[in-house]
Parts: sequence; structure tokens; C-alpha cells
Amino acid sequence: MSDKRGVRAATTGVRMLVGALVAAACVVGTVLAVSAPLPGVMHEPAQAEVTPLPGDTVLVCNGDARAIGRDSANPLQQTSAGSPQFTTGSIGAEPETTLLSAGDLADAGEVRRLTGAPDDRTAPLIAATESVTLTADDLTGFAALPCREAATESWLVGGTVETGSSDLVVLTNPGAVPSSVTLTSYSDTPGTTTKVVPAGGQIVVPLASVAAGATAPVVHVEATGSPVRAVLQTSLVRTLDPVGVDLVDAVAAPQRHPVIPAVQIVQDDGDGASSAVLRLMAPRDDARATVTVREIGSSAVASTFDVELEQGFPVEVGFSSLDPGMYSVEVDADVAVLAAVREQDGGGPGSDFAWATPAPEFTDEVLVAVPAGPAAALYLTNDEDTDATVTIEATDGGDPEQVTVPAGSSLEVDVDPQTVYTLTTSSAVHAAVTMSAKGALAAWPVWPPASGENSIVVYP
Amino acid sequence: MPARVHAIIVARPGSTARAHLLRTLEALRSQSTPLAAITLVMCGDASSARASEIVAGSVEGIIETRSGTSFADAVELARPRVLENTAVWILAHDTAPHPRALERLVGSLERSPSAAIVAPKLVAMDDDREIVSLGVSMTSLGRSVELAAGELDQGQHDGRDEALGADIRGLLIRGEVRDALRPDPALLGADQGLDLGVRARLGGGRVVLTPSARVSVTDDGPAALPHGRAKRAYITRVAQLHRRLAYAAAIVLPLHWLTLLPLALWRSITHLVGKRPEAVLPEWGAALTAMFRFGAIRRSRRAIRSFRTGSWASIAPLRVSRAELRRRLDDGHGSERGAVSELHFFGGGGAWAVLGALVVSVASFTSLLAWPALGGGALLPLRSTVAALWDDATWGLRGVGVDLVGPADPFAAVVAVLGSLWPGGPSFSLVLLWILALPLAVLGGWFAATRVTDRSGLRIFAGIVWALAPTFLVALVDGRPTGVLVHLLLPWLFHSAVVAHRSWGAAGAASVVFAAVTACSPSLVPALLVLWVVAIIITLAGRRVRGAARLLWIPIPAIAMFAPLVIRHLRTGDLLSLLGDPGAVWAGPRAAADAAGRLALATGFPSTDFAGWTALTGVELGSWAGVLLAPLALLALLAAVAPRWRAGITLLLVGAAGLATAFLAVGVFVSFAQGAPVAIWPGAGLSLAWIGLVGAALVTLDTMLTAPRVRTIAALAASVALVVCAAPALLAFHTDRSVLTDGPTSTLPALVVAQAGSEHPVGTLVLTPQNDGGLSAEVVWGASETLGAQSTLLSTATDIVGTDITALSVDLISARDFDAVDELTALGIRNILLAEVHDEGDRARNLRTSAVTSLNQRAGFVQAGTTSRGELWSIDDEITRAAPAAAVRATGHLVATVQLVVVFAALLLAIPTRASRRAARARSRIVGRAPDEPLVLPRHAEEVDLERDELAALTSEETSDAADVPDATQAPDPAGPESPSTSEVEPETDAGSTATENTGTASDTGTASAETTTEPSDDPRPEATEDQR
Repeated sequence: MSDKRGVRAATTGVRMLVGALVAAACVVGTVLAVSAPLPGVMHEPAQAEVTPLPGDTVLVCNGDARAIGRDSANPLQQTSAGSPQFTTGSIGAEPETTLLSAGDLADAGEVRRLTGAPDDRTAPLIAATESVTLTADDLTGFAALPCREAATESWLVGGTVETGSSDLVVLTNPGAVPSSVTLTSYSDTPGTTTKVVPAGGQIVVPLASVAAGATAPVVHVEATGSPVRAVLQTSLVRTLDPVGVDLVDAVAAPQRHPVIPAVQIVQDDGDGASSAVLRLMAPRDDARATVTVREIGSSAVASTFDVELEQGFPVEVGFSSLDPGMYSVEVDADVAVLAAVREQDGGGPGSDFAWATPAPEFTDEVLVAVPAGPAAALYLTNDEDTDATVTIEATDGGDPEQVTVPAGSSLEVDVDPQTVYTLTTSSAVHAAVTMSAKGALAAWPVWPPASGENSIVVYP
Repeated sequence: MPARVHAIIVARPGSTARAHLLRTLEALRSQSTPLAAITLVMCGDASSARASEIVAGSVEGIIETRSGTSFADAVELARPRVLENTAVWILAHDTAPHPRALERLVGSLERSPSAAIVAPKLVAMDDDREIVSLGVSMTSLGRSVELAAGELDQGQHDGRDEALGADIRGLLIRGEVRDALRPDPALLGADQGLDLGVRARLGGGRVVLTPSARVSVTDDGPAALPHGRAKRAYITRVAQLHRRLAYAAAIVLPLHWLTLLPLALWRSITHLVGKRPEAVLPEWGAALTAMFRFGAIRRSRRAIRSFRTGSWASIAPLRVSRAELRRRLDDGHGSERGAVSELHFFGGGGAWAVLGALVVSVASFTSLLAWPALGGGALLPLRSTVAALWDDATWGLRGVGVDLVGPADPFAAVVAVLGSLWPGGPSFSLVLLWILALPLAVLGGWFAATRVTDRSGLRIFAGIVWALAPTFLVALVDGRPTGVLVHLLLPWLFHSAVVAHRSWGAAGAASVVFAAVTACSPSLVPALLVLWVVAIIITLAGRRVRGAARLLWIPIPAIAMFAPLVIRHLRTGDLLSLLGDPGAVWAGPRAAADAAGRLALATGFPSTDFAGWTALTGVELGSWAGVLLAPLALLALLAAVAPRWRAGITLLLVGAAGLATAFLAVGVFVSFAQGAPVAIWPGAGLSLAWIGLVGAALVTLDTMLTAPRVRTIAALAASVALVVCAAPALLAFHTDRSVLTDGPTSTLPALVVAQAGSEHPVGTLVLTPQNDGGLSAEVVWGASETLGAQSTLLSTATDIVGTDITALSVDLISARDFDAVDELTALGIRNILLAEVHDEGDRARNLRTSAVTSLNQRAGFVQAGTTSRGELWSIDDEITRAAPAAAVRATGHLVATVQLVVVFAALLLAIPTRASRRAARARSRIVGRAPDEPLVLPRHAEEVDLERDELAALTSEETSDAADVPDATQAPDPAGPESPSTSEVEPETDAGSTATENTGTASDTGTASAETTTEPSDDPRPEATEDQR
């Protein structure tokens, strides 16, 4: 009897012990498994790297700078204010140059179209830049503009319609069919204008007719039928003195992370005009943008601030607190935004201004043509996590120069005017060229060849 | 002068057989009437028989023959030794005649001049009061029917003197007819006596029964039917079919021959419904055997023709009539013992809980009711016709990819079943699924709980806890159809699989649900297989081989569904890809494969937003949401030391398997969404773990916390905490934290929908520039991307499958000048959709804008407008997909047929019959009950009041009405809630006669239950299910 009870107590005890051990094992096992390095499996998706077969590379140049209203009897009459100096270079087949019609421009110079046919399934690299120095009564200053591909969608960020400005939207259609172009102005008073650009022709639309009453216009250019090249020629006369001219290249699309590699802040003459102004606009949605300014050659942040953007309303922000010098400006927004910086050397007569637009990143070989003009410099910005090694080599010979752009920093490289350089980079960088002297200022980003040159990874 | 009798004994070698033989010879020697001679036919080695003096002294000769010789052939071998005009007595080594048997048989032969055959009464060797056989007849369709087999001999059949046939053992055949009436070897040993009787009858003779002549037989002698069920089924069926072909009139013989295979099909179906799957293969074997033994058929027919004098009509009076048959098959149902309590789904408040969940569901997902289709997350529309749904579920051209031919995902079949529930607009079935998900989960949880507890309150608790599982709610809010389906199916898998070893019905149901669960979440397969092997080991440890065989069936339908896919992946050599989630691959929120992610998984949440808690209270506080599940986890862990600890530990093992699956799943990246690797959804593993957790907690509540108040408080604490935990997820839809959207009914622009009409295979190339600068190129066929058309062949592909369209895709958006229309037409693609990736970055936008430029300039394309998904270009021409080749269609049909047959068989097995229901009711619903555990018995009406408080408290969470149900089943508690210190004692005296009967079951259960966790006892009536017809 007592034996039986003893056995029973023993089995119950063992059962309890086993149960407690199992429960403890569950807890301990889970805790250990949480922190243990468990094995995993990582498969690579099916993919193919495809290099697109290139079509012809067609670069469109802007042609003569235009002056409007010189004839008081015919205030809309446009005349040529000066023909640009042209610098070009290419790798691969020599591009064919054809001339486009400048339309209603009196004594017009050449409007060039450079066509590079692909050679052995690779498109030629072509670079061409025009520069013009104006010293007229109503137009002074220096402007430079690379020749680029036409596009169906472009954004013009820059220019004003204030008194004294005579800004012009220059539309060039290199194609074989006419293009219907819709210009939409984003500002407090939005407006839409539609123009037809004839095949192989160039037309000009005054910015004031598109963006009447806008304080900081941003114009969306949409072409149907054939892509067009859109350029903004902006000039300003203050009282009676011309205070500069610039040719502003179009921005291809809004970006979440625009990078402007080179912004020059000049000593303020004290006339109250801010030396540099950032124009920002979010075309699709309300945005919150963080602007970070760094001095060239340094990864330290010189200035940073947040900007709240209402959808469709351009905003201008000044950089007046910065010391004179060269800076890079990066914008980080939660939705895609447009950005450009207006820089100015002084405010009085004999000064010039320029619009610096965002530079796209590039990873492959790029050709940069530096035109005739004042001292030129190439600015490289690396916003990636790894250092980038960039080789700069003039196409007409000379020793290649190799520089390392540290991650998160930027670099300045002096280059010679009227020279074409090859840029080869080890990883993605942004680049821009500025040319500056007293009363002469120009800045433009380096554009990689139109998409299709780089191989695309396709996931079927 | 009495007839001379020559006995032929057919014997087999072996020590037992030898002992039997000696006994038979002894019995023959002591007969009151002497035999003329005895011939021994030894099927096998006869040396020991020859050496035996007893044998030598008894027999006139020993014939040695091959061991495989059939009984009929053996008898035939001895026939030449029988003298003219001598009657033949057919015996085997195990047929020991009683001393006066021969005297009475010979007497009958003399008294009945018309008797061609005289048959004795066969009784069991070990109990001569049990009749083994006394007369055999057949139905009008030719099935043989034993007239008295298995009955207790009380002389009730002694008045019978004639039958159509009799068992071959002990037959005495009149000397004049013995050459004509030879056993037919084509019958393979079954129905030989019946066949002899029929032939005798046709020749004008009779089979005379002599019940007073008794012969003892064993059931494993050379003339008995084999023991194996399958072999026995085969032999009896061959014999029946052969007799049919031999007896039929020559004119209808071809008709009979032609009906053999259709009959085999029909009988296979009835075998499956009758839970006799082991008889299916013998059925076909028998049909094929009977069909092609032309020589045997000719011989048998000739034998009948040569002897026949009378007409077939003379047989008719001796056939067993339909009425008699029915009386014979009436096995007295309703008289079985040990009936377990009723289910009490309505009475116990389960129905109220389900209704309550429906109300909560409607309140949580109010606007879903008005939506025609569900979108967002991994949800996609369904095909618009049922035919197209099922097309996607079969082997052939897939609905995605250029010309991808291959097996369908098993999940497509699940989708097809789901869509067929609302044939007018299959996409709406997903809306219904979402609305009904919560009540269905409560229902599933409730039924699964019936395997653990008999207490209604605890079952409702389980239903609610199952429906409020965080992983389930996250799957609902995040739009993951596979996760929702797995969670709804798993309780039914549990409900049927834990009793699969008991009956074929449960095994069939479990196998179907198993196939559905694995189809929805292949990542559960390893864990489920481990549990399956554990279950088989447990069953085999209890020496229940038949139970293990039933368990073996469970994965068969899933294997049939997955086999084509597995073969395909074997060829590409990457079986891990099989684990990828089917349906749309969506890189939605899920726990990462790091410590933080696994901590979220360990606390029951499949993603680090903790089912909406981080959004509600911030990351800091929200991460502690797992604490709300602690009471449940604590109860589950206690199950290991509960009285029903075997069940508790097994359930903890289930939980561990589920958690391990979830832990590993988040590190397995085999699926890709537009080139981005996506880990396996860990929620399915968590659902499995939840089964273990809830089950173990129930075990604790049911068996360990015996004081009603403690139990109520514990269950209440756990469920209140869980309801609080579920609140943010239930409110997510109204606070805009859910990704569910109204539709769209098609993911493609309206133009494509119009072109496709009702499932016309219009091809659309969807190009999506990716944020990494890449380009995703997919081809969609029909009016929309659909859930069923998705293929893991494509979503888990690590190499390009089918025609490579990568170059074409890039060429389309580049400046290359080529005949794009021609190339697309060759592929059957009519539309190009340039889609925008979600949260588009700069590189994707650049690529997209340049692609727009290129596509706009392409000749032959019509810009068909911009839609919410992107821009569409269309070729203005009727272009359709090439029809699949004939070989593809043939393979598709073959695969579909095989899969259908297996699934259909499983479904037939799962159909409950009266017999299977009765067998199930004879067993406790609870699995793994410990021997010393008190039973929960149905209460008398007067006890209800005492329990009302407890019930009301327990169920007020969701179903306040449950307590008002008058006959709720609850544990009888003699002390009542007033004196909780008294532990719950089995109230045998209170519960009256019902209790006595149930305790009987319990003691049965107790005696044999030392071995198992899932099964308390050997079935006291192990053949109860199988023997029912």
C-alpha cells in the first residue's frame, strides 16, 4: 500500500521535473534563438544586364544671344546680340553639323545641330559648349551653355519677370516634325501657353507672356510630336545699367535629391541684394526639403536649413549668411522637387549673374567642353559613401590628372578654356563647370550622355 | 450399401500445420464410419509427413507438389487416385471432423438421392459453439453471402437442409458427379464451394446441409481466405467477377466484360466513401485480372455447359433476397456503448461567439461590404470567370511570363475554389473572406478546442483567442490572403489530423486541409512534416499500425498537388525556391532577420509595428505590446506539468515548430518582387505556433486549474489582455493604417480590360523602372494581374525562364530603330504599360521619362493615355497569344487528372457516413486524455444555475448571451462556486447513469493509455469502423 503510494509520488515527481524542464527549455530555446545568428538563404533574382543599342546622338546648340526691344518702333523685334564662340570635341566618329533655322531672328548666326551616328554599336561621345560675352548698352555679361539633347519634358527654373528683365524662353526643335509645346508656369498666378515649334526651327517666347506676374517663375515645358530643347535666356537692366545676362539650361525632371556642385558666393556690395538665392519648387506634392551647404573641398556643413514647400508654389531662399567662396548645395526632399541657385558678383553696372542648376550623377565616361571665356574650374561633388577617383584628361593631349573626391565632400579642379576634357570616374559623382571673372559669370552642370548609353539591369 | 468415401487432405508444411494435420488424421481414424482411403496432398516439402508413422499408417498415398499450388489444383492432383463410384470428401490439414461427422454426411447422401454435394457445419477449432460456415448463398448480382457465419451455435440453423452452396472445406461430393464438379482453380480460392453448389444445381443436383455433422476448422488453413485485407478483397472480387463471367449468358457476356472497369471505378468510390481505401487497388487488380483470363473463362463456361441440364431459373429460389440481406446487414446501430456527449455548438454558446465575431468584423471592416473587390498589400483581383480560375490551376501556359509553360502553384487551386464560391464575380469572394474571416476563425478555433476540452466556456475562449491572434490580424490589415487562409485552415487541420489515426474519415479530411495549408504557405511544410513524423512515431509506439497507415495518407494529396512543381524545381536544381510564398510577392512590413525582428516574432507579432501598437503609442512603448500575451504564454508553459502533460508537451512542440519556422522564414529570401528579394512571410509559422500556444493553454485551463474560480480568472485575464492587444489592429481600418483599398477590379488600364473582354488572353508588357536604375519587365495576360495567375516559377526564378524579353524591353525604351510592332506581335503582346514604381526615386524617374520619350517616338504604337498605374501604349491590331501546343494540353490534362483523382479520393474518404459518425461518437472527442483525469459530463438542468456566474464571466468578452443558453455543458462542480477550496472531484454519484457509462469508457481508456500523448487507448473495438458496411 505504502509502496504504491511511494511509486506514485515518485512518478509524479519525475513528471513534474520533466515538465518543468520542457517548459524551461521552451523559454531558454526561444531566448537563445532570438539572439543567435540563424542561417538564412539569399537568392539572386533572375536578371540580365542589357546595354541598349544607341540611336544617333543629336545635340542642339542654342545659337545667338538675343536682344529684344532695341527698335523702339517695333518693341517685339528681336535682333542678334552676339554670336557665341563654339567649342566642341568628340570621341568616336566625328559628328555631322547641320544648321537649324533661327526663325524670325534678324541677322541670325548659326544654330547648330550636331549628329553623331553610332559606330560599331557604340554611340560617340560628343561635347559642345557655346559661350558669349556681351558688352552692349542693354546686355552685358558672360554666358555659356552646353549643347544638349532635346527632350519631351523640361523644367526651366530661373529668370524673373520683374521690371528691367527681358527673359526669353528659346525653344529649338531638331526633329523632322513640328512639335507642339505646352508651357505651364508655376507661380501664384499659374498660366499655360501652347506654341508650335516648326521642324528644324527655333522660336522664342517671352517669359513675361508665360509667367506674367510671377515673382519666381518655374516653367514646365512639355513637347508632343517631337522633343525640343528649351533654354531660358535671362538678362536684367537695373535702372539703366545692364547687370548681367545668362543662359539657363533646362532641368530634366524634379528630383528628390538635387545636387548643385558649384555655387559662388561673392562679396556683397552692400546694395542690399542678396548674393545668392535658391529657388525651390515641389511640382507634385507638398514637400519638406532640407538644404545643406558645404564649402568646396570640405565635408563640414557650412549651413543647413529646412524649407516647407507648398505644391506648385516656388519659394526663394537666400544664402546671405555665408562667407564669400565656392560652395556645393544639396537638397534632400521627401518628394521630388526642382531647385536652382542664382549667383551674382556684385549688384551694380559691370556685374554679371548666373543660374546654377542641379547636376545629375554620372558613373561612366563623360566629355566636357570648356568654351572660350574667363578662368574656368570644374567642381566635383561626391554624395555617396565611398571615395570616388576621377581622371581628367584633355582630349588634345596632356597628362591626365587623377583626383580623389572623398565621400561626402567636393573638389575643385582648374581647367583651361577652349579645351575639351574627358572625365572618367570610379563611382557616381556630380560635376559642374563655372567660369568667372569680374563681370563675367557662368555655371552649368555636366550632363552624362542621354540615357541608353548605360547598361540597364532588367528583372524579367 | 453405404457409399465409399475417399478423403483428400490438402496440407501445407510447417510445425503448426503438422500438429493440425495429425489431429485431423486422428479425427478421421476415430470416425464412426470408416473411410475407404485418404490421400494427402502436401503443398511443399513432404519429407516430414512421409517420416511420420501416424501419417504413413493413415493415408494410402502422399502427393508432394509445389508450395504455391492452389487448393483447387491440389484437390485435382489427388483425383486420379480416387476409385470409380467413390464419393470425395474435401478436407484440409486444419479440418478436424467430429467423430460422427462422416456417418451423418454419408447418411444424408443416402437419404437424399438428389444430393450432389453434402456439406457439414463448420465450427471454430477453439470454440465449437461458434459457427464458421453453414451454407453460402449469393445475391441476385452474384455476391456471395455467408448464411450463418460468425453466429453462436444455438441450433438455430439446424433446421436448414439446403443451400445454394457451402464452404469448400468438408464437402462430400457424390461419386457419380465428382468428375464434373471439380473446384474451379480460376476462383483463386474464394467461393469455390458456392461455385460447386451452383454447378451442381444446374446439373440437377442439390447441396444438402447436414448441420449435425460438425467439422472444426481454423481460419488460416489452406482453404481459408487470406488474412490481409487487400489480398482478401482481391481474391473475393476476382472470384465474384469470374463467376459473373462464367455464369452469364453468352449474349450478354461482352456487356458484362465492358462494365467491369466502370464498375471498378464506381466500387472504388464506394470503397472510399465506406472508408475502405485498402480495397481500391485490389478492386482494379481484380477487374483487370478477371477481364483478361480468357482461357479460364472459357474453361469455366465449358465445365458448366457440359454438366448443365436445368435452367438458371432453378438457382433463383436459393438466392438470398434483398429483404433478407437487409435484415442480415442490420448490425443493430444505436446499441453501441460509450456514447460521448453531444457537441453543444449551439447550446454551449459557440454559435453566439461566432455571431459576436461577425459583428466585430463588420464593425472593424465596415466599408468593405460595399467594395466589389479588394486591393492593397499582396491582394490582387481574381479572374472574372470560373473557367479562367480553374485554367490557372492546371498545368499549362501560365498567366504571367511570355510563354511560360509549367505547373500551376497549388495555391492557384485554392484561389480557384475560393473564387468559385462567388461565380458571378470571383473577386468579391475575397471581400467575403475578409468580412467572414473573424467569425470563421472563431468557428475554427472553437472546433479545434473540442479536441482539448469539453468545457463550453473554454472552447469559446479558444475560439476568441484564435481569432485575435496578432499574426492573423496583421495579415488581415496588411492584405495577405495566404496568411489569412492559413490561419483559417490550421484549426481544421488540427481538428482532423489529431484523430486521423482513429478513422479514415478524419485522415481524408486532414489530408485535404493539409494540402490546402501547404498550398497557401509552402514554408510550413518542413514543420508540418516534422510533426507528422512525430505523430507516426507516437502511433507506432502504441503498436497501432493501422493508425500509422492512416497517418501516412495525410500528405498524399499535397504531394500530388506539389509533385509537378517539385519535379520542375528538381530539374533546375533549387528546391529551396519551393518555400517561396505563392500569390503576389509583396515587400510589405515584416520582421527582419535580426534580434529585434525575432524578438517581435517571439512575442507573437509578424512585423515590428506590433500589430499597430508602434503607430499608436510610439516605438518605445509599442514594442512592449508582447507583454499583453504573457498570461497566455504562461498558461501554455504550465501545460508541461499539467495532469494531461503528454498532450501539453506535444502542443508545446507544435508551438516550438511554428516559432522555429517563423524565425527561419524571415532569413529566407527566395522570392522576388520586381527584382527585389522578399523574405518569406513569417506569419504562417506564427499561426502554427499559435495553435500550440492556445492548445497548451487550454490543457492547463482544462486539467490543471481545477478550482473553477481560478480557471475563470486565468482565462479571463488571458483573453482581456489579448483583446486589448488586438484593439489597434481592429481599429486600423478606421484609422487609415490599413493598406486595404477598394479594388481595383483590374490592375491594368481600362483599355486593356476592354480588349480582354472576358478573359481573352491579351498580352501586356509591364515595364517598371526601379529605384536602383534597373528595369522590371513582366508580361501579364488577360484583363488584370490576378492572384491565381501568379506563378512561383517566375517569382522565385533565379534564371530567366521562358523567352528572354530583357533585350526587347530595353530596346523598346531606347533609341534603337527596329520593328518593335513585329517583335511584340510575334510574342502575342499587344500593350506596353510603363508603370511607376511605388515611392519613385530620381533614377527611376529619369529612366521613366526617357522611356516615355522613346516610346512616344516609336512607329506603330498608339499612346493610349495615362492611368493611375502608368502610361499605356497599344498596338492597333488584334494580337493574341499563341494557343498552347497539343502536347502541352495533353500533359496538362494528364497532370490535372492525376491530381483530381487523388484529391477526389481524399474528399470521398472525408465524407462522413452513418457508420463513420457512429464510430467517431464512440470515442472521446478529446485526444490524449490522461488516465487519472476527471471526465467532464453533461450536467443536469438544475446544475446550470450554479455555473451561470462562471460562464457569464468567461464569455462576456464577445458573447454576452452565451450564459443564457439553458443546456450549456460545463464541468459539474458539486461544491459549487461558493466553496472553491474543494477541488473538482468526479461526481459519479451525482451524474447518474450517464456517468456510469462514461466512466466505463474512461476505465477502458485508462488501462491502456500509458503509451501516448495523442491517443489515450487502443480502441476497445479496433475494427469497429472498418467492419461497418
